[in-house]
Amino acid sequence: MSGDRTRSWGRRTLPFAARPIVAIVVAVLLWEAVIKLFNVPPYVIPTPESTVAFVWDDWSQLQPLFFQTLSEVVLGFLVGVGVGVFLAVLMSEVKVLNTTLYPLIITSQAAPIVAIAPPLVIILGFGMLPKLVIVGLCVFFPIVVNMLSALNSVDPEMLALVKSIETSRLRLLALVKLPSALGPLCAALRIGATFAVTGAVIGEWTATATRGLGNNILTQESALNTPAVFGEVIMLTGIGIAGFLLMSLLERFVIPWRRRSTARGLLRSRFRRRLVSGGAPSVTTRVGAPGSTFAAGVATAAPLQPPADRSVVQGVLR
Amino acid sequence: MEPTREAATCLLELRDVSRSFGGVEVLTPIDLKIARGEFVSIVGPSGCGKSTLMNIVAGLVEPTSGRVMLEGRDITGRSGHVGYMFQKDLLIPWRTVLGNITFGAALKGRVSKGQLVEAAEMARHYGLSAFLDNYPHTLSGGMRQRVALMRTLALGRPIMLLDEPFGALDAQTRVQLQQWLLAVWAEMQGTILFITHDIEEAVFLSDRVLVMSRRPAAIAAEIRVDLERPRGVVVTTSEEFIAYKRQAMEILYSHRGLYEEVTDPAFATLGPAS
Repeated sequence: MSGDRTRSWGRRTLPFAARPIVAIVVAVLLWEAVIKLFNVPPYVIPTPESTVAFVWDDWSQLQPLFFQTLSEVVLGFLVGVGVGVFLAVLMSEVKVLNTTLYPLIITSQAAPIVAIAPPLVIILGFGMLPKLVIVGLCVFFPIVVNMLSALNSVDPEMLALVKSIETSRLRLLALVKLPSALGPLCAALRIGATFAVTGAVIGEWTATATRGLGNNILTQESALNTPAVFGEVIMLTGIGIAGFLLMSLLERFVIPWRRRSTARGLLRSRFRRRLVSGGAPSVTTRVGAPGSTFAAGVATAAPLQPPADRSVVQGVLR
Repeated sequence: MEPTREAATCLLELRDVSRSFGGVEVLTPIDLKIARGEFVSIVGPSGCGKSTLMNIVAGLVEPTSGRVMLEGRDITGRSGHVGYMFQKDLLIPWRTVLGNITFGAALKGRVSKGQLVEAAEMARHYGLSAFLDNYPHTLSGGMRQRVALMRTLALGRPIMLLDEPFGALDAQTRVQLQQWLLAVWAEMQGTILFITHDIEEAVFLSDRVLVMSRRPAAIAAEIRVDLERPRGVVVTTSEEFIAYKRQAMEILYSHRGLYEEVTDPAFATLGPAS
């Protein structure tokens, strides 16, 4: 069948892990090609080599800037996540707050963040605080929106079941509502991780006492040092991508039931699979391979002997 | 009916229970007694208010009038006294099979090791041993309903309400689960109130079949099924069985004009709710 052949073509010639690398290489080649083709002078667009060379040579000077911006991103992200989760839970539990706070939350996003940054600096000073607020403002919104809709859309029949068993409000939240909101929360965390970098740069652009990458871009730009500008942009982008990947990794750990068939020890089974498949992650463990998860379930469930009590207990307590 | 014997063993009693929604009467006053160890089914046309009756017994809906008595105590409008199972399995995707079975205990507080071992024992005893550690998404529909029933059973409540638990299953799985349910019920000597729109299922499972009329619902007839237990699926082809089935059908489909359902104003205003 021709359909089968085209599908396996992609898999055989381009292994899963190599695809993003290929994409990046192609992008860099395009960058190089544009410069060559249109004869772009280096002060307009620097070559990839000169950009990398700048970061490499000046790393000792860039390092404090990088870590300053990184700390703004990380701390501001944490503030945004904390506020977002707190507001979502509060608004879903107290219906009055849902309708009273929602307009305020939308207002906070409708006001352009670039425009409210200067007054924030006037109020909060030149230190870390206004940056945390600006990054937090960028991050908390997708978290509130995603989590709130997940918390409010728990299956009403599930709520009826829980009510027929009877429990406290706190247990309902901990055992049913919050776990069901984990998926949407993780999606929001990925979005928030990339927004956080934008927030940090805007915070630094407004005014800053401690210099960071975002702030330094302006300085380098006025000196027409385009390799530096490009290099710093790439570093900022790296922070955003790393955050995104970190949040994706987190999702795999907090939502193991999506891609796993049983709840035996997580590391143990991973190790076992590696032994079986010889290094490469087997298809059955990959996210989004439809049908394969079921196959894995049958495979692990097939031996008709009761699992040892210990592993069963672990599975439940997880 | 022999009132003296019934009174001695009566587990659940509905006294004059009725319910209206927005001025439309859904349940006319209903009296019902269920003895300990009995298997009682309610059959009725869809949307007749069977589930409303169940919700009243489970304490999820307040009756407009009447009382619900369980073991002589008034539980009207109070939830947490009966085990309730729905057509949807409502298994929790992030809990394993054993975790789902002990979900009721978890909602009450920390699940002790003793409770876990006990639940695992019970599940193994009823044939779920190979799947205790699995997440629900790896299970078939029939398997999921078994787990849901185990969860209801593990609550240890005196009576289980099963609201069309096999309604979404294919015919063969359904028969398997019916027999499995009868085996579980016989062994635990429990009491079951079962809702279905399938007359055959009701006759096959029950000691008594209550046939409900169309809305406003009332108990139109009560059929005592005196088929020998344990019942195998072959019994459904016996003459006695077919006689019971015919009896129920005649009551269920009497007074029903061909176009009645379409013109029924109550149906139009409330929509179908089975």
